[in-house]
Amino acid sequence: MIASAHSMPNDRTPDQQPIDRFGKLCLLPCCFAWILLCSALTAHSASSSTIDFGRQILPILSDNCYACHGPDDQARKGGLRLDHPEDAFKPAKSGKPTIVPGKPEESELLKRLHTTDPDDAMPPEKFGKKLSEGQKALLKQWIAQGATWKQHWAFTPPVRPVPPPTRNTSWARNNVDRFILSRLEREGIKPSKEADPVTLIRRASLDLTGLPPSPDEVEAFRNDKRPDAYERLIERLMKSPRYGEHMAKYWLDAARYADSHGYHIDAERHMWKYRDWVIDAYNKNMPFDQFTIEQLAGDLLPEPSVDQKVASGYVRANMSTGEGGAIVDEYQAKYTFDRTETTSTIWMGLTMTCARCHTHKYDPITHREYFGLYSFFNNLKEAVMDGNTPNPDPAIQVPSPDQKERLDSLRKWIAEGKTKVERAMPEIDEAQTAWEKSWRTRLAQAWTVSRPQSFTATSNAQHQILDDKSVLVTGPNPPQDIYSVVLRSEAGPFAGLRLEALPDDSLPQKSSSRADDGIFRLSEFEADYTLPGADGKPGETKSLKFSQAIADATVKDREADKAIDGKPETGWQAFSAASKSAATVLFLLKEPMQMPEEVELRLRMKFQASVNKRAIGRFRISSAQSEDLAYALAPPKPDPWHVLGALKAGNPIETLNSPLDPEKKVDLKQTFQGVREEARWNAKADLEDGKNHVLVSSLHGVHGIYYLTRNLNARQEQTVEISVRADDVFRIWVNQEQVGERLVKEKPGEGPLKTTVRLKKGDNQILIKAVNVQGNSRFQFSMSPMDESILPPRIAVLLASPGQMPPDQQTELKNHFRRVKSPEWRKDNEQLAAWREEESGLNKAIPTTLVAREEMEKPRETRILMRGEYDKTGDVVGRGTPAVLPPFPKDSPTNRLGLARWLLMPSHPLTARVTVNRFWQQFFAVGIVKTSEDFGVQSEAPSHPELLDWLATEFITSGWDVQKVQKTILLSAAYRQESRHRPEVSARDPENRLIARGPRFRVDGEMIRDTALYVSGLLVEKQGGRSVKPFEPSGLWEAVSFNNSQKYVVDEGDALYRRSLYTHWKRQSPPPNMLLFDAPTREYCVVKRPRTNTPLQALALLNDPQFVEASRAFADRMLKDGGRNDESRLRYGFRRATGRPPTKAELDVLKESLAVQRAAFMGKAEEASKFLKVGNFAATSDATAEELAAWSAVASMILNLDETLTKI
Amino acid sequence: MNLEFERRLLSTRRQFFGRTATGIGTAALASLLHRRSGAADAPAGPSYPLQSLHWKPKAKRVIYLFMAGGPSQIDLLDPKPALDKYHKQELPASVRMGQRLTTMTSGQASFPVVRSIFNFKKHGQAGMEISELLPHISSISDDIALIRTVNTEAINHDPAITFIQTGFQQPGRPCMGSWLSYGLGAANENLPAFIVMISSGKESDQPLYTRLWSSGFLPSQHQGVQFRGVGDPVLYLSNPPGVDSTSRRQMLDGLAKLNKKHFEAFADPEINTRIAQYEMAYRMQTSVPELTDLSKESESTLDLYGPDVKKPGSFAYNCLQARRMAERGVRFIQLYHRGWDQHGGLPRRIREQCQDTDQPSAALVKDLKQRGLLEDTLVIWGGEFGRTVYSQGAIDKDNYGRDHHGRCFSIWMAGGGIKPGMVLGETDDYSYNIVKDPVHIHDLNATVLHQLGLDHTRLTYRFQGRDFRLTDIHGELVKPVVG
Repeated sequence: MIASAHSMPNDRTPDQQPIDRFGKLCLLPCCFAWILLCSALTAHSASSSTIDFGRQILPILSDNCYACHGPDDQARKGGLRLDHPEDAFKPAKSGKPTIVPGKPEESELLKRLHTTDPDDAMPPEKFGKKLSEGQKALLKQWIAQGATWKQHWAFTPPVRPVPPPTRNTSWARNNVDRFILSRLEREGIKPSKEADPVTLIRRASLDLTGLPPSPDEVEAFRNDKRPDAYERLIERLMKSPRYGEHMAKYWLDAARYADSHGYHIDAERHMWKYRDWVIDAYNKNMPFDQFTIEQLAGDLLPEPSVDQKVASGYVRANMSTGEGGAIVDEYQAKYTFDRTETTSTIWMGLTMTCARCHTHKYDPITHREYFGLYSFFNNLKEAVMDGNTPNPDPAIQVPSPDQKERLDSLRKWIAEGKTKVERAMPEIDEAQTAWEKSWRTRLAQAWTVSRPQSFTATSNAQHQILDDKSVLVTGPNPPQDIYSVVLRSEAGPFAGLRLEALPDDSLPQKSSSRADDGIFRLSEFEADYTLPGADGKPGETKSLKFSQAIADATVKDREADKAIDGKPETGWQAFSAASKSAATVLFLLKEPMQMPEEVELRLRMKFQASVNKRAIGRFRISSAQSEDLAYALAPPKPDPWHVLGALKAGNPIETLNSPLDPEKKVDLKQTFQGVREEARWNAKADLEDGKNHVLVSSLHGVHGIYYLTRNLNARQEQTVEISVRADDVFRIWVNQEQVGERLVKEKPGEGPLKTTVRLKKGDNQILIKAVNVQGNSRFQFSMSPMDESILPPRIAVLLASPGQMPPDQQTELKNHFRRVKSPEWRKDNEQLAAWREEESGLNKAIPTTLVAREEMEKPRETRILMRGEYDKTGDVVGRGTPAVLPPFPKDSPTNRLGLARWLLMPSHPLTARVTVNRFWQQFFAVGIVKTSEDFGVQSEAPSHPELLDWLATEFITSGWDVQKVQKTILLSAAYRQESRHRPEVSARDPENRLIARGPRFRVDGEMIRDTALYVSGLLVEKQGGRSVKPFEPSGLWEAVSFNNSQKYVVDEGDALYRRSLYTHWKRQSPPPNMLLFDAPTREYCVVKRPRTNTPLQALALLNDPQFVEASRAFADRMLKDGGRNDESRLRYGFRRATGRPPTKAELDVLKESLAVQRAAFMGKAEEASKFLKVGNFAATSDATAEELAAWSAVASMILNLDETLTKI
Repeated sequence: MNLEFERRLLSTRRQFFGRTATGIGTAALASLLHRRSGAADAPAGPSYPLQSLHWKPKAKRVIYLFMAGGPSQIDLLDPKPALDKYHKQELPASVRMGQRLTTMTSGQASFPVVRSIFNFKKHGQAGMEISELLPHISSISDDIALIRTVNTEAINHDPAITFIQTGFQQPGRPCMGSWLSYGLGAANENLPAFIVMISSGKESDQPLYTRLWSSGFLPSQHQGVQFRGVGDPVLYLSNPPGVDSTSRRQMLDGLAKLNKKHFEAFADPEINTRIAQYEMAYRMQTSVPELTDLSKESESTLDLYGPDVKKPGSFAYNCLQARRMAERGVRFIQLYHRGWDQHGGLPRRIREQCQDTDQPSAALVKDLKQRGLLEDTLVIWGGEFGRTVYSQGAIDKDNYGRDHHGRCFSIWMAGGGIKPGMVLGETDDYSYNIVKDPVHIHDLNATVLHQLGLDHTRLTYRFQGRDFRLTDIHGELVKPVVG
């Protein structure tokens, strides 16, 4: 496959580089031309025969010698250093002087370069580098001239140069031009003439807004005869909100912004608020110093605003992981590397990565200095393992004004609703009192207090049994203990056990605990019993499985169910301080059982969740053995759920409406063809009622149809309310009769679907069919009786507890009774619940964004990491900046804020140069320094060094005014030149480094797509917001994601037509039509995109549904708005895309193509309508399908024109 | 092949194109230069640096069967009879040597050794011991070189797979296929030089990453082109519904006419390149379907690959596709097959994995061999690391799991000048540490480049002022396997 690549990061092979630069041998025309330019450049810097150290000698030394004779003392050979004059002029270890100024013949350096003795020859053969004769000659000449030594240009602060005089005094429009023209004059090249107004407005519009101008804008500009019309145009474009969107794209490449975490699962991440902040900053023309400070250290500013915190998301935009097995320290180091190196590349054009493992081989940056910078970023308080959640800590909520308003309303309504449901309802409350009293009496009689048969403790503690059958423990009191108690249980129904912790005057602080502070903590409560065997021998031992533990007193995170969770490290604790009150906890079986005869119950009370002697000092045990209680505790008895899935699903509603076997009859033994493999019914005991379960996880689940079924055994006919939630759409049957359905995915605030059903006595079958197509799919089921005579278990427990009920339990009881008795109250309560749901949904919907936050305590210690390995630590390093750069400002804090200020010091040689160079690169395709990512010793020399320094100083003195410096560039005559190639000039300077013509290059992928949407009228110009998912071929995410579970679900409506900047960016599967056009993956910092020209790009522009749809919309627009005949319509279309009217010859080709396409679709209405169905756009012109199809093909042709895709 | 002659020929061409390059565009130049196929095929141009290969290559192309997730060497290719003795015993500290573990098992209270429940038998003339799980691969033991001592420093999937494919654990470097595309160019101008296929088997737990076929800092035309089992094999390949090839041809003719006029006005060679790319795209619309059309494959060939071969997207299907791509000169064909990450339930799951992959892998080698293609096609089979001798989770009679293990794992290679029927390297009784002949993944990558005529220390690209290479600053040729 062929492919071309111009403007590559580096076109030449490393071996060629030094050769190219000084020019003896050349293989490629572009290199050749550049050699000529470089020589000319050199000639400019000094008189024609004087060698410029920085531009001519340093690159040779750096590239060929520094790996062994450079800054890295670990790698240094022969004790020789060639990166410092004091060392280079000293005699080397051999005793021979390396460089003797003025005396090449005495300089060992030259001898070593020329010798044929393999022992002495430099560079050594195995190093694989060889100096050309030209380079050797240059070195000789330099030494002969006195071997003047200068610091690498980029490490000395820019000094504002005086624009040079030029022979032609009329061409230059501003100072930029004087530098350009002076250089062109030296080359004997005339600048190109100014481009015509149509070209100018299109060029500037693309460069400043990323979109072409509309024909009206072109006309207006053509007709604007004011002398400053062009300047006004630039100002208008910079004021457009599109400006910020376009500029942000470049910055987001560098800041490695994306909508996913990056490593491993690569789950969704929310930080698009940061993206919007960048857009806003450009649109406000935020000064670059503020722009820098807020991103690097917004969180460290005094009382930072929400926006400043959002800006600090820059620091967190690096990739993160949630991979199982990953080691936190390792990733913490990786993140910090990335932050250090990204910041160095963006602001300083320094390639810090080298110094991660050892002192830089070329640039004067030591290994220690690297970690000095690293330590600025090594104090973040963050969740290193991102948990695959969208907003790993720290993240902040950033509500929109609408969200804030709604939230305020909801809060008000909730308060009102709460008052309403809590109001007194005398009649009902009275009835409740009677109801409650009758139940309490019935239930109180149901508890049988048991006198323990025996008590032992692992501590050998002693005990006495008091009159009330409680046990008082005394004697040895170790840190932890386990009590064993044996009780006798009668034959008959058995529903659970009650444990009372009772205070006693003999216990510490008169509490119920043996601990000095009077607090007990029960870590586990277990019970088992042994049934007699056949021949009198002990039979099988069974343990009682408690499903619920409810206490009348508990502290947070130490609830009663912690005593039955099987984890010794957790436990039930009733009080947070010593209390003289009793505490009761009920341990209930999932369902009552029948004890066949009197048995011994063996209980174990464990106190192992603490080492502070937290055993209970006095307790009493009762068992629930009355028929009444057992019944009250057992409303319809549910079997566990059985789940079947995932079965193949298509369109959700259609799938829901197409009955499969389970709808007719549930056969738990039946098997089905599943999405992947054979599917069968599986019992799912863990789908607990009333809780939210993830039925299908968006990260590793399988979407499709799920059936859930269970049996409910009712002791009598009764009414219950069931409440179900099962995204996305679902339907419910009870005993094969449909009782509810949800055909649209649950909306925020909607809550579970509730339906009241009548159960028959005996078995009742519930069946739910859920069709899940995207995202996390929840499942929730709960059921509550609607009959006063039946108690839900929880209510029964409350009524069965002796003693005073705490207020929340009283409310629970009251609400239960009111719900059953009063439809009016039920309505109010449901409304309240809905508001609460909405509030919680809205809270979740409020965008969050990752921010930076310092660790509060003293900064984390930073140590040098040997060879950059996280687990090989060396010396402790303090925060600091490289010695070659200006000293850290004394009045600045040594944190990220200080670092930002340091970068912005006017004496800092890099920040301004690197930044203006990127602007230049944006507009001219190649920077003044071509290696915009590297300004170090190995960088390519600037084409116009004085211009670079002039722009840099201009930028600083303007107060870092981004638009001002950009405007200066855009107003120059250099920028306004036409971009036609002049063969004799292009042969010498194919990359247009001399700026002898205007810029001309294929625009970025985002601009291509945006242009297609814009000219066709599809573009939806909405600013900011959550990232969107326009058309993308299906299956791309699945192919690479864990269990093929992540799916790209194409959005609907406006979201399909937003600017590409807003497209959801998943790092491990970025939008393919952007990657094909050289967009980076956003895994790491990229400050320069390559620009290739490949057949895959052609295929995308011709066949990607987004472009096919845009062609149709464009065709429709031509037909409607382009006038009455073919010619005017074609003219209109051509103008919209290219800005200019077609020439006669071009119009002929367009007409011919239209005729050919008409012929191709004639009589093929069916084919044509297939073509017209791609995408969602519905045409409104009255053309026939054949006609619209023909026009769409022509529209596609116009959108594919080189001129449409190119900034000219 | 006379390399010197080839080199001179190339430089003559370069001089010719050098003079006229502004007329025909750099892409067209590159295209013309690498149109020829052959051993000394060395395209040049801004993004194809080599004037000639570093030495005479043994292989012209690579098919890499990547077993993502980390197949268990202990159950497949590295028999450890001594484990019968140590079964369920604690892994001795003298073996474990305090090496770091993943946090999935580093918290385990004990590290009980678990033997493989699968039997190993000797195969072929070399008596290569291979597990009963791989009967088909066993049948080609005389064609493969088995290395039991490959090792890596990475312990988790993401860094490990990034490391073995790019030479670095963090994203940003070009992958092996991109390096080869950059170094060798394409031998068939109608197909990409570097193709990636992902198969879906019974399991596909661990994710993959676009970066694994990314060109990193290399020019982006060297990124791998993903061929898919569903939809268009190449993204956007098909004309929109209702648009036939004739009307598309006519539309492209009109487009070319307009673009030519534009060139006349602007003289920018990129315009001609664009015209050429649209032509190429049109040709790909024929060459790709021809490539992926299996209808002309004989029944015996289809049988060789097994019953899944007709199922697009299966590993068997992709293996057969790989052979067809190799025939057509694609330089680097990368297959990914997931599902080897068996932390638990290893016996059942590894059986399923082998059912999916064993026969097609062996079939590919046999098929290449019978067509005379194995000679210059290098086939590699392996994952990003191996698995631990100790069990993750409980050991049952027929169930156990293994965590990631990078200190030694097994891969095999065939063809492309690799010495057949040999076993290299020896691990200790626990397949935990290497006893003899370690092969670091940099060494493996250096060896792959070597077979293609490339010196891994000289295939470099300058980025951020430094000359980067696939093997970073490491890598030694694994001499014993290259004969």
